[in-house]
Amino acid sequence: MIRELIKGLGVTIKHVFRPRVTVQYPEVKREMPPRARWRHVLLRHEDGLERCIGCSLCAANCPARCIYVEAAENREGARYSPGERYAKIYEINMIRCIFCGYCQDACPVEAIILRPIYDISDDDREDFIYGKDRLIVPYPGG
Amino acid sequence: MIGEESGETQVTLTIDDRQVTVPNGTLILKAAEQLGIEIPVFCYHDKLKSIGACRMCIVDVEGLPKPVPSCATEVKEGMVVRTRTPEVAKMWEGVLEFLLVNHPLDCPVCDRGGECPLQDNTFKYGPRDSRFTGEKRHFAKPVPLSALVLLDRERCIMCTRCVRFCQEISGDEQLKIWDRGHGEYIDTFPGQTFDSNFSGNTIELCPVGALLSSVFRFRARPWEMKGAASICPHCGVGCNIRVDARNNREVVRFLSRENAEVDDGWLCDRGRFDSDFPNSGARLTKPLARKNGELTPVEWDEALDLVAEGLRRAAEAGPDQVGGLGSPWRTNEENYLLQKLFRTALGSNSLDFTFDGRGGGSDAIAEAFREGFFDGSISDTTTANVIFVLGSDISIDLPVVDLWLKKAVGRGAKLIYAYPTAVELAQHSQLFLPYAPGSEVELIEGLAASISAEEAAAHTGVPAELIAKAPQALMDARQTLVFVSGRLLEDEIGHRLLDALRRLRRAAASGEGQEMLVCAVFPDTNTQGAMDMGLLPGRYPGYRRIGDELAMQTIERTWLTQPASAPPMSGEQMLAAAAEGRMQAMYIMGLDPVSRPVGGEEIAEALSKVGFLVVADTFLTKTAELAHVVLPSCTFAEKDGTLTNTERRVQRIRPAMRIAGECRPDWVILSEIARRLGMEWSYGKAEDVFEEIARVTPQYAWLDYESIGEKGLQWRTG
Ligand code: SF4
Ligand code: SF4
Ligand code: SF4
Ligand code: SF4
Ligand code: FES
Repeated sequence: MIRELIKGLGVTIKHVFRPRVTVQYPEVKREMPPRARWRHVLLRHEDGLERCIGCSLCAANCPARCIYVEAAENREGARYSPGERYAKIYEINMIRCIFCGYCQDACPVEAIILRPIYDISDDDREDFIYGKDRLIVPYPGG
Repeated sequence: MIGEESGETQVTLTIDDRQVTVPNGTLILKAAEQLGIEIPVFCYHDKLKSIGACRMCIVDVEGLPKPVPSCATEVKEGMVVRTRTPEVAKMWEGVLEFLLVNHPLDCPVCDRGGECPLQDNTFKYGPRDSRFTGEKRHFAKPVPLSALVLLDRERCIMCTRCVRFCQEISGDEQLKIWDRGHGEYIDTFPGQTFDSNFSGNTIELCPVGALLSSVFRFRARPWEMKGAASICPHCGVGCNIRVDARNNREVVRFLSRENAEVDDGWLCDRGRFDSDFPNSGARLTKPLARKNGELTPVEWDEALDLVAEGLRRAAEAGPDQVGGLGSPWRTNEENYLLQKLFRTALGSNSLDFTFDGRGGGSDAIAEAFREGFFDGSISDTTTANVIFVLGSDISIDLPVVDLWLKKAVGRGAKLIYAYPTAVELAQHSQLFLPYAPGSEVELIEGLAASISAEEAAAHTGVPAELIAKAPQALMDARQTLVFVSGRLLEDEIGHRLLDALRRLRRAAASGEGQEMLVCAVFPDTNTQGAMDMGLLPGRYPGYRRIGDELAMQTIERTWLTQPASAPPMSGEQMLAAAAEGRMQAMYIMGLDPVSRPVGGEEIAEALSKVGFLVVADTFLTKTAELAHVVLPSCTFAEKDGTLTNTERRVQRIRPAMRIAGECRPDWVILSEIARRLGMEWSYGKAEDVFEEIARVTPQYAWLDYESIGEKGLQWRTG
């Protein structure tokens, strides 16, 4: 009986001196593997224009049906993307998303990609609907 | 088609080792279609002449040195055709590779992407890769041909369907091929816009996304849309349309849903492009009631209680002090329930669908409908030898019938056009009779030769030698088709005009096997239905006279109450009574008379004196602004129902999108009011109302939703 107790405690003590596996999230954030796929971002071209052309192919390919796109025409003085068409509204419902990456596969212009950004938490369900404001990468140079 | 004339001789040929027998003159393409063998096409279209331009449809024919275009080659006895050999596959691949040389990779941003024949054919028969590495052609994207139609020349494959439509169908000749060879492109004549009434059809004909609608562009991808089989809400033709709604939320476009008897597969631009109104942010979405002089949003229950109470009180004061106005833009079901509400719960027969004066004609016209005087159909234009139009500018009143008439003229029918001014169609006529307005009766007498051409000329101002040409043409015609303006028939001269037409019919149908068919022209969507449903002063549904014992008995059997037999007032009379402060209550459904360009102000003044005014409509119209209670109705895109077009064809509309806000279909609103007035109506759906219509309206007796189906049916007498 005593022997078992000591043996058990021994395991505990041994682990106290091992390196820790947990980190102090959110102060400390763990490095993700380079190809980890979490939340999406919408990319820009080098000149700062949005890559997305508002084609809705990502939405069509999404098995969770969590993307909503509304397109509009680029106009003189209001150009968002290189061609005729851009996404006026682009929304992803992150609660529904299963992070499968099919949207990324479908995109003909490599506008949407899943990045190792995993801290997707909020306290209101509405706030999980990410619009362009949160998805699109910052304009180069601010 | 080409084969029809020589239809008796049959030809047997073999396509892909299967035999088929078709009439002599059939195209290989059509013969293959009969066997269910698909041959890809681009330039060929059933409604246009074959030109064999694109070479997509080439097939092998045994014994011929070269492949032949199946869309331009007629079958021959014993012909052996092959469409599924490696050689044919290679040729199809080659044709597609060439077409794609200059075709941009626009599919993701192209409106056609997902429902594009070029995509589909490439997917099925095309090469996997392109060997072309040079620079593609470039053009400005897109070029507006008009405010409604845009052209992306980079995508155009020069099939010339659009050009041929303008030549062969609309006759406007507004589009043309410019330049030659690799540089050729489509354009209008310099400095002109593509302002044809039918320009939108080219968008649907274009086999790629080169012609685009400015109303629809970028609004939806094909897989996001669901279509409802419905009817164009914009005129009395009632062209069949598919209403496409995006995600069930907004109507994004109307497409043609070919009905070979009504629209021949075409829509006019008014119909096609005026598709946005159900989505408008200005729609009424909540009931309004006047409180302290202001229209304030209220709950449905409150609004309906107010309406029921207001109508009941007014009716107690006397049935001659309440009246209802239905609408040529509401369904038969709704117009029917409106009159039923007034004729049962309120004891009033004062029902109409316009404030316009009805002259003396409305009773004559009702009588004519009752006895089945009107028997002409739009599709009779395909057989008539003489077509006579009286008093209607068809291109505006019934736009798509304009195309039917041009088609008839093209086939050799004689068009006699009688109209005060030289409208566009008059230029296509063999005989144009510009008469002085008001002399229609004398004109017809002249045509029927019941008065001399000289006498008719004196009355009408039309040269006697022109009038003199008509009687012979009518005598010679096996079939004469008359389109007569409904407005004229309702006018003062209505009675005499109908009599004159009867005489004309006797003259034109005197010989063996001769007939004359007459179709009334009603430009508004459901004028015919509103009249059929009994929104005419003095007539129950089916044009039966108020007070007619037999009619009252049959109606009572269905309604379980006696229909009112109080003396009716027409819209005009109600308006006059209102102006004198004698109308206690009025219910106006789907009509905005105050916004009329002329006479609106007087109407507004009269309506503001009505004790209790209820308006049910989709927008807060000027009329609605005067109301005490405003009820938000559904548009045609949110409900079921039937409409009756100008040739008495009953057709169905179906809901295409979810109901906006708190709106309700008018038949639901009316049922709710009736329930509050103690009526036991139990309609669960629009179809239940229609079943009842069929029971009390003799002309509709043999109709139900099932038999009306996708294509509609004409009502008939007896
Ligand atoms: S990752 Fe998958 S589930 Fe998430 S948005 Fe993309 S396609 Fe949809
Ligand atoms: S992200 Fe890509 S696939 Fe999605 S709408 Fe934009 S361009 Fe199309
Ligand atoms: S615009 Fe369209 S219909 Fe006209 S020629 Fe080009 S591809 Fe054909
Ligand atoms: S002809 Fe009349 S029914 Fe046909 S599309 Fe035009 S407006 Fe609509
Ligand atoms: S479809 Fe036959 S040649 Fe174009």
